[in-house]
Amino acid sequence: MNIDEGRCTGCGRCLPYCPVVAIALKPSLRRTPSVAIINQDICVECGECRKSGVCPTGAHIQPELGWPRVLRAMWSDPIAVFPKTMIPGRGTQEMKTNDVTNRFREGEVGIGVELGRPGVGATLADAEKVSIRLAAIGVYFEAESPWTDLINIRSGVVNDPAVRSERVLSCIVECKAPLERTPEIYAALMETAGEVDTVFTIDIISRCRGGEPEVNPILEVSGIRVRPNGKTNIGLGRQQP
Amino acid sequence: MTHSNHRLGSPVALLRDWVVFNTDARPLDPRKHERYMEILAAHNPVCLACRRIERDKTTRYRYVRGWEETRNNVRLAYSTLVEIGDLRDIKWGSAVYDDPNDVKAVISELKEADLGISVVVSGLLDRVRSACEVAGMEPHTVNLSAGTHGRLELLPEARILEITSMCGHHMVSPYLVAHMAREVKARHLKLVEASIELARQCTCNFFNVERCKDLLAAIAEV
Repeated sequence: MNIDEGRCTGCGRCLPYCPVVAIALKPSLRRTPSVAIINQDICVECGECRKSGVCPTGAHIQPELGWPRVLRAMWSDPIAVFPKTMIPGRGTQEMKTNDVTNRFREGEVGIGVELGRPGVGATLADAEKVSIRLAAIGVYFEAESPWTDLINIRSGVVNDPAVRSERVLSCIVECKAPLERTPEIYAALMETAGEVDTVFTIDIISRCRGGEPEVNPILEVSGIRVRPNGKTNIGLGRQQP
Repeated sequence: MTHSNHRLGSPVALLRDWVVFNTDARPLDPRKHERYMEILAAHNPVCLACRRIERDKTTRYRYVRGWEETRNNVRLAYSTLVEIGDLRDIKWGSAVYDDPNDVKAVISELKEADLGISVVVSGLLDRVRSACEVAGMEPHTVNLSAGTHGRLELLPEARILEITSMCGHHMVSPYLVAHMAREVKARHLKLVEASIELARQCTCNFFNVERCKDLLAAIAEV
């Protein structure tokens, strides 16, 4: 995102709308009192400053983003569509359509690692550290995930080193494995927690049996704590004729 | 994306915070979505949103409880529940509720309507399971939140996170929350206006303005 200095009045209204504090007021030599500028290293291209409509002069200008900067919008702007899957957002439909797609079968666990979430942001180098760790212990990376499209699925290493420095609001590394490997995957992620320069939040996806998540007994034995709230696919979807 | 999986707060606070939405694995008959939206709209939602196919593009419509009370409501361009209920050619819809009994009723009616739409309910897992049992079905798949790890010192303060995590895409800036709290404290904005201004940033309309009003009042000390 850029700011048209000719239009900016320096009112500062847009500053609090930026989720990553990329906008600041700077004194201008040509005018007083100041003008808003966007730190391009920090900006994650979520477009929130423009979409808020808070600028009285429409000074926020969205330029066309080239490679690899376009990846920032991909993982930061909820309405950006990933070309390969045509799904808006950072990931896949994961369990939301599992009653139709059977993406996660009985006996499998889905793991989502949400780098930079909540509210911190992350570089793709952090996501690479996680995917390298997961690749080392052997998981099945979700083929339709935008992140998987960027990496070598055997090593977890990004195919293009230029993407590492790109900063995003949140990037999800999605994978699945046999259910009994949940503690091993969780332990690997805990080791990675000390290596990343951000936070990550973990999703554990499981089919239900008798109303209970299949993974629950494994979580209890392993001491893996989960929050009392989450998402439930209530099972009303079906293949349409 | 897992945009409603990690809403923070105590179990008591989360009793007032529920999201219901659909995702389609493949295109469905729009009439099924219309019935689905009727059911969501009929149970006192805090927020309601849908996407409608208009010629070759998709247009978003949304309602947030209390928007009519705001002084800048023209700019907000929200719709009423009735207006959204009358829409046709819908392809996606969501609702936020602040009463578990409303969610229970929604689940039962959706089961009875037998629309074949994949529906996700975000909220307290044991309550959702109970509601499914009452409706005579079992949950299919869950997405559990196994906490946040890494450099936790970088996180915004907890009471602000309770507000911002209601927009899973984090379009609601922590700094805007602090700014709105100051505006409320200074009596420049009413609580409902500040909460709706925060909700307006949430693209998916999953932001619970009723819960936000309480949280914001505590931060603003009003």
